[in-house]
Amino acid sequence: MSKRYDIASSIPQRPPFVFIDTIEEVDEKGARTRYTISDACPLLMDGILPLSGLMENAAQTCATMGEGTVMYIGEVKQMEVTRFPKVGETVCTDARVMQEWLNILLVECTTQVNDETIATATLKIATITDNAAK
Amino acid sequence: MLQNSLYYIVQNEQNEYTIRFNASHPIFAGHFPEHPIVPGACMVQIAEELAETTYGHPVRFANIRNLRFNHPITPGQEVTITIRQIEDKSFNFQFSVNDTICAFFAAK
Repeated sequence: MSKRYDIASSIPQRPPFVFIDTIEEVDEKGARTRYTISDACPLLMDGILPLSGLMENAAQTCATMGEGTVMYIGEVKQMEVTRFPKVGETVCTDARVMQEWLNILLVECTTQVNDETIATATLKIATITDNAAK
Repeated sequence: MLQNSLYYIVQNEQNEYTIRFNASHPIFAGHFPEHPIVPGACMVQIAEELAETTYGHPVRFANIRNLRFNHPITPGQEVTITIRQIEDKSFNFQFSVNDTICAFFAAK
């Protein structure tokens, strides 16, 4: 049984700029989210979600790990997309912390549709415990 | 397409674009409430669109490398974007405000 997580209390983004629907699993070492691409998605281009949207989906998946902290993406070391998902498809994104150094996390993200991997990314994230960015 | 909705091109000179944002675009209400900043993902999308405008053929990035965010961009700022084609379908982008580099990356 998966515990229910509230998106609005897990990430600072608000509609229409929310790129995750459900959080399936999250702790300080990783997270897994699902997102169904709708017509209302603000980064939809010709019926598909381009790299920019997949990047935001990966970033917001990482952001769910920051309980009590704000997480900023400092760097996308690399991202590769092998297929762009279409409206109606559900992407499942898994983020794993590979390294942690002071307040910098190196996170590997894999995005799948059903069991097909369509995108991978390596992100560097800074965690900041402050109220200014709330 | 974010062009002419989220942003407008105010100047275009030899692979160097100056753009302004539409501060009342709904994206800024969600990113973030009370303190709008231009999402990094939107910068990538803007780069894709400007590459398309520059080279006159459809561009869909499948790969990006070394994307760094150095400074946040707020919707009121005028941004200069320079594009350099490094090989056939590969580009370098730099986003700056005045003389401050806010973000840069390579994409193809």
